[in-house]
Amino acid sequence: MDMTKLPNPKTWLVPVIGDNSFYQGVKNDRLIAAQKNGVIRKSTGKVTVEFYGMISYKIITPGGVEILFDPFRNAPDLDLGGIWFLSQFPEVSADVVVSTHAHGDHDGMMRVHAPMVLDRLAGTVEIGDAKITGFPDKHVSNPENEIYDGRILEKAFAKHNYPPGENMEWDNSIILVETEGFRIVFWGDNRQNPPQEILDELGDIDIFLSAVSDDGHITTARWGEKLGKEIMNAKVVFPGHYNVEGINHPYASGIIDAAQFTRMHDHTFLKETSVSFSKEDIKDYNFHVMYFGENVNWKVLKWPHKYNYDYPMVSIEEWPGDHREWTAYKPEGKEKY
Amino acid sequence: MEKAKKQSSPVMGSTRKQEREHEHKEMVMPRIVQVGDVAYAQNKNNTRVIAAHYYGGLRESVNEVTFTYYGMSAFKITTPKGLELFFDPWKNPCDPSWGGIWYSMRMPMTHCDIGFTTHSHFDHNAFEMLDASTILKNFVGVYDFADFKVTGIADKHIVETQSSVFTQDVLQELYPFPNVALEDRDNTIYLIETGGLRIVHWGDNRQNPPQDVWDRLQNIDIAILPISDDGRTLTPEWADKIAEKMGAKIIIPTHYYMEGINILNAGWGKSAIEYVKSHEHTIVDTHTITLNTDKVKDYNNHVFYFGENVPFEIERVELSQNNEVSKIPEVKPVWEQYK
Repeated sequence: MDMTKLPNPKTWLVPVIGDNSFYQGVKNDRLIAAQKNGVIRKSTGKVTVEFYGMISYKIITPGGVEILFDPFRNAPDLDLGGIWFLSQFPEVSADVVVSTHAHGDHDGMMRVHAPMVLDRLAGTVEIGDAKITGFPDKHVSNPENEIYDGRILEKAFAKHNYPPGENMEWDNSIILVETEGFRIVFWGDNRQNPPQEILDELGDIDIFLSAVSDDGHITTARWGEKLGKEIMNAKVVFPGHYNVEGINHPYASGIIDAAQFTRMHDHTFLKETSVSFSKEDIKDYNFHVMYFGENVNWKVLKWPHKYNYDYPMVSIEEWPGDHREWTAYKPEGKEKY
Repeated sequence: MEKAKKQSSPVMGSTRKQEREHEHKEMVMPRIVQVGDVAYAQNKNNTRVIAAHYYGGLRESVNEVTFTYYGMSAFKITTPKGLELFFDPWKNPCDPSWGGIWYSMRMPMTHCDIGFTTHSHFDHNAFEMLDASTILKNFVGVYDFADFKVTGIADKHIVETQSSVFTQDVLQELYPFPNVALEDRDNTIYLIETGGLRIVHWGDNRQNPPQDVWDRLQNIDIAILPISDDGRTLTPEWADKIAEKMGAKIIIPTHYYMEGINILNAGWGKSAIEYVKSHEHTIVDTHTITLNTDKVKDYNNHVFYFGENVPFEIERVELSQNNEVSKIPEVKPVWEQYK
């Protein structure tokens, strides 16, 4: 990249509260295809899971519907615990964005180029070969870990944070995606003990996209095992809501990763940023942890730069140089006007 | 310096037309300060949808569907079991260079259980003005919950209205940015099935969707269509064709000029009264009506017109000559308290 060739954009600033897809040039053409044909591509028989950091996962159904869960952002109000993220969520594309609740680490929908958003879903949506069900419940208010308890969370947010009488910010929808026989649960930041009725409806599942991290910020390893293994009999579990260097601020929203939790169970440390499997591939798994670690599906800028950032390593005499653009106004034949 | 002068004005509020030859080649998009979702600041919680999830509704069915008009294309539809669905809340453009200011007031913050938007234009997408548990933005597919079913049918926004007033040239002048001429802006038509009624919310869809869309829109009881006498979105002629194609028993015009809400000549100038009068019609003198299968069964292309009735106060400023000159207030010695 030649830094001297970057143009200044001919743009102006617009503050956008709420919906910004007007400015993104998003098209619903893929959804029209799903509406007409039931799928976007010929079924591969495999579900693909991609990781985007924090607790953001993208599920691609066998028929090609891309569902992105819980993109993150820094909340617009710095009183909500200050800066949580060192990177902006990448401007990726998806067909559907699903947000479980109204917290900055889950509702950065405006960063994603998607023609359709399901925000805090309750009820069932069928699109293409995906059936997405939202179970409205509550956010965790007492994570029961060594660092956070309910009282500290209440202080950090300066807000009443548990039912009854909490506001929308402390509600959460658990999301169940059913596609070609797969049952995939995205937990969001739901409390550990939802009503038995919800657990009965969730039943046995294949893939558990959890909020389990070693610091237990949302779900502790103990609760993760109880929910995923004992209650929902998940075949595969993905940790989430853990710290990734370069994405999370080290003192906010996740302090350490989930490597210990991973090692406690059958596990795979994934080397790639996405993984695909068929029903057949995972039929013998029992709470097998698939851990992406820091392998997110976009380039994260880490400090100091750990990836090849092509900055011109030349002296300031050579670059950018002393161009003296103001000499265009120099009066002719004299020193001053 | 010369080159800089030729660029279209980057000044906010400018409605200068861009040079047409560049409009597709080089799309100038603003950088946006993305505040995004503001639902964390909502006061209510999801208790009502949790109740609907467990009990299938919030009350015993009253066998009636309630329609409340909120101006523009905004409707609150209350299902027989009490779920409040809201469609297309409106606001002024975030970017005043996109046709300036459209409304002289804000739509009030409104409670509902589930909010829907048909497309991402500002007269339809103000979901931050909804105190909603669930928001489905430009949703496509079949949504099943409690005692209603909503089908989001993906299609495209209207481009050529064939209005004698709002021609392509006028629209280009009114909305110079961005890409009003692109033919594939998105729109979702909503088909709402509740209480035995089949209700269509048209959004700003084009007049001529493909046949598979029409196939889904048959035997419609109530069609909410963006009709105005100036044909800003659907001309009365197209509205007739669409209503007939859907077999609509009742038509509710929306998206027309309303004094006190819409600013005159910001893209609309007329109500839909001429259209209403030319059809079998009922002029409603309130903002809310209730309908059920019994009430609608004998209608055929009957127009229900809400006129200027909305459930909030519209401020109309009367600028008349005032002969009394008001007194100048005396200077209040605020400094004396520190004496």
